[in-house]
Amino acid sequence: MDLEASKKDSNYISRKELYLIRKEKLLKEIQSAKRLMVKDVEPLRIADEFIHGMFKLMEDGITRRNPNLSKKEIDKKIREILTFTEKIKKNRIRGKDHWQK
Amino acid sequence: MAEIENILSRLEKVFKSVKLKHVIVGGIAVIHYGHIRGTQDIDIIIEDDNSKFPQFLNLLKSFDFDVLDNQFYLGYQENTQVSIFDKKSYLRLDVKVAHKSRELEVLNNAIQQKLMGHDLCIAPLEYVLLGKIMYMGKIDDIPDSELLEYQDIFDFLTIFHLNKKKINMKFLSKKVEEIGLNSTFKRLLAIKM
Repeated sequence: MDLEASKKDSNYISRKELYLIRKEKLLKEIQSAKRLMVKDVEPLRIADEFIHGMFKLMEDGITRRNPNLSKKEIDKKIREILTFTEKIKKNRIRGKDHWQK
Repeated sequence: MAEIENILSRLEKVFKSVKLKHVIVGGIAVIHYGHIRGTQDIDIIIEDDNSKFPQFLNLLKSFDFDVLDNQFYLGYQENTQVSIFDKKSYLRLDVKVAHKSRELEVLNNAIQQKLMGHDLCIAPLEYVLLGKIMYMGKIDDIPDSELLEYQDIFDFLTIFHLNKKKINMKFLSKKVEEIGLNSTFKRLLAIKM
């Protein structure tokens, strides 16, 4: 099988295609936010429900994988995960230092 | 349920009592201007008035925030952000005392608004957009195909296009010029939606 054929068969997505997918997603976000604005729904209220659901999912997942953990231990685990993701996020931030170089 | 609302309600009480100038920036401000997305923190800039800090910290404690005084004062001395965890949720407050001119500027231009029914001060739309541009920095080296991979760019484009008619473009352009990030701004505007 040549490279082109293997590319066709694989799940390879080109950077250009990814850009178009992300742009489509961005457009959809703008459109749905516009709809909410018309309906006079406060975005923070929806985000609050979404964030609540996100934490609930985390709690459920950890509880299922670690049925012996107490509520306090689950809380600790979630905080550790959140701190870790924050650390990764900070490493990825471009920010002031980047453009001042 | 309603972790953000619960925190905002407690913060309203804290700031009403301590009368410390404050402004909410970051993810909560982005969501307020229409981009619904996740966040783990509530970013707040407060005025540099250390006579009010003991009362501020005590109030936070009494409203179930896990405050470590030493950490707060260390952050204050080192001019860094201080994380304060919430005992009632997994969210946290990221508090920064205003020192830099851009922090003072956004603090002095904060607008009082009802956030989920609670009176708090938030950064104006133009300052939220400006903040996003600052944290992107120069984006000349990023290929077009990778631009939308960055959260700040995604945030900027969403709230920009959502609130296009309300933005004071003259003011925003002037501010962007002041920070020397014209090329970033132009590139963002060139992305046709």
